[in-house]
Amino acid sequence: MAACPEYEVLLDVHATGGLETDEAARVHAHVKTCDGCREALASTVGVLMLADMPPLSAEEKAEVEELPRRTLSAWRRDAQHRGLRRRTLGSVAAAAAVVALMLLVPGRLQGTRSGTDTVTTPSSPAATVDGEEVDAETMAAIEAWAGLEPLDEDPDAPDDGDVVDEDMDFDLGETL
Amino acid sequence: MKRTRRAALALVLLPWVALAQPHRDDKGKDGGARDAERIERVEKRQRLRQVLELSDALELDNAQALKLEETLRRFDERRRPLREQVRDAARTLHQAARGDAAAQPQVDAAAQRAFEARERIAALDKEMYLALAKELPPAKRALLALTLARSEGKLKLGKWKRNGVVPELPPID
Repeated sequence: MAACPEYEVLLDVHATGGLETDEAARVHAHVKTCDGCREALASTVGVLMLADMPPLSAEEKAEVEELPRRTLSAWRRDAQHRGLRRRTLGSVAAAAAVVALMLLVPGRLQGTRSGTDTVTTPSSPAATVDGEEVDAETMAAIEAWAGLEPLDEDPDAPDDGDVVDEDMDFDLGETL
Repeated sequence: MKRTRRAALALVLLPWVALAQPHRDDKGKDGGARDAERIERVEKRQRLRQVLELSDALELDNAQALKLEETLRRFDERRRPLREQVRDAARTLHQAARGDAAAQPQVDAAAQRAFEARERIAALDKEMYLALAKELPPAKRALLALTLARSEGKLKLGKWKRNGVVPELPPID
């Protein structure tokens, strides 16, 4: 015997326990008097019981309990990575901006520096007698003897950029 | 990450390279000021090289590298008058060696000044090492000492080799 058409949907919902109290009471009262609907309800309940999940094992319970903590940890890790990436990008961008400024206005900066720089090199009167200066090589040798890095800029020495690259253990070109 | 750090460090330090470029418009300046500027420029270049070498050897981050640069700069400033003392003594001795009568009486004092400056530079080098090593663990302190010595030694050796003073030696095992 078939269920009443107007109760078909209500019976399915009732079988899952999803009806409000009033409606559930109405369906319940109807089922008492209608064989077709009673059979349909019993059939639906039987099907739903087949699909019912077994109780959770101890391991599954532990996993479920761990879930919020693991989710929070993953979210924090992700937030940290994003923050780190943002900071790194920010640093590189700021450094690039500073470099661009320095390279775009070198003349102005150099002018300002030389204009305000009051450092002068004292030299003894005896040192410049007859305009005879110590040659660069001798001066460099004496400075090296004293434990200083020689200041001479001899023509054989590589250019500025090469000096930087020459003695370094890593290649700037590779990183840039 | 290390590559990113190095790239950022190089970018941060590039202004020093820019400022260390030689001046092209200093024809009108007097010799003293030009000399002081040249010394400052070469010092900056040497300091940049040293910062990059030490940062690489000690694996410093950008902030530490900038702090290192600041420390090296302070010691360069203290070393500058000593350099001038050495150069001044060398000029006097050079003049005296060429027979300049005015320089003859100053020979002993000039030699004394040169030796004294040399001692003070050595003391300053040691003080700089201690300042840089202050917050480093032993292994990093050892790396610092080796890098400082190697940097200075390589520079001098390179110059001597260019002048043909020292023959090329096989590498040590």
